[in-house]
Amino acid sequence: MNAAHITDYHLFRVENCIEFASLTVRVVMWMREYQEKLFNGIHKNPATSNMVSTVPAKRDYETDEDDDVEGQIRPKRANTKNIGISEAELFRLYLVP
Amino acid sequence: MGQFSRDLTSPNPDIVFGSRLNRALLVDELKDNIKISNFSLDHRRLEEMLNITELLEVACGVTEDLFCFPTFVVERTSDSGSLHAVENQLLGAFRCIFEAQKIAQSRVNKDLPILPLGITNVGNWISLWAGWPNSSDEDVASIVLPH
Repeated sequence: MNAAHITDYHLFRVENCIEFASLTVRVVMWMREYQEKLFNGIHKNPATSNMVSTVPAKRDYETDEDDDVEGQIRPKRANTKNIGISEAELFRLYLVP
Repeated sequence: MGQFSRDLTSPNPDIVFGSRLNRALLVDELKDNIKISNFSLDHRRLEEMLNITELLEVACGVTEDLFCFPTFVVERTSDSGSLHAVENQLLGAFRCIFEAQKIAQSRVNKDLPILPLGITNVGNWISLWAGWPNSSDEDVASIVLPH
């Protein structure tokens, strides 16, 4: 087994290693530049009100289904169902031994 | 990525690069050696700039490690692993990076690019992946770089 056989068997190429090392260096440089811009944007620029959020807050997209129709007055306890039993009967059922 | 992003597995990257918040400076005196740097951001400034939904998006669901704003991901497996699973994981991570970079561009600095980057490593095979907003009508555009 010679060196050429080993390099062929493992698909090892020196130029590929150099290319990968060059790529990683460029990626690190890109990440540093990105982080620098991000850091400067967060720490050096004051937050302004004209920044537009890409993620809407819950109140921006959620509709309130319980909103009353305009002009309609709903009693505060409108959802309380009448079960057809008086308070006296309830008192007798639950409190009187 | 559109509707196909819903079919991706939840990302579980082997290595991911990004920033960390310096909240530990306030809540844990044992970690007081963490200084503000390019890779350690002031959480108080971020909380002023972003709402709670955006803070959760840029953290990509990683809350305990104070991680945020991912930029680069590495997915790897051995020769016996599945190339499809690795690429699926990478695309899932790209979706998180894409959303975080979109928020960073709109809320922090307009000059920040939207460019998720990553590497898949299966056995001896390494490929570089990148994603960017597609302005054309095509759903997917593939580019083969010259050798």
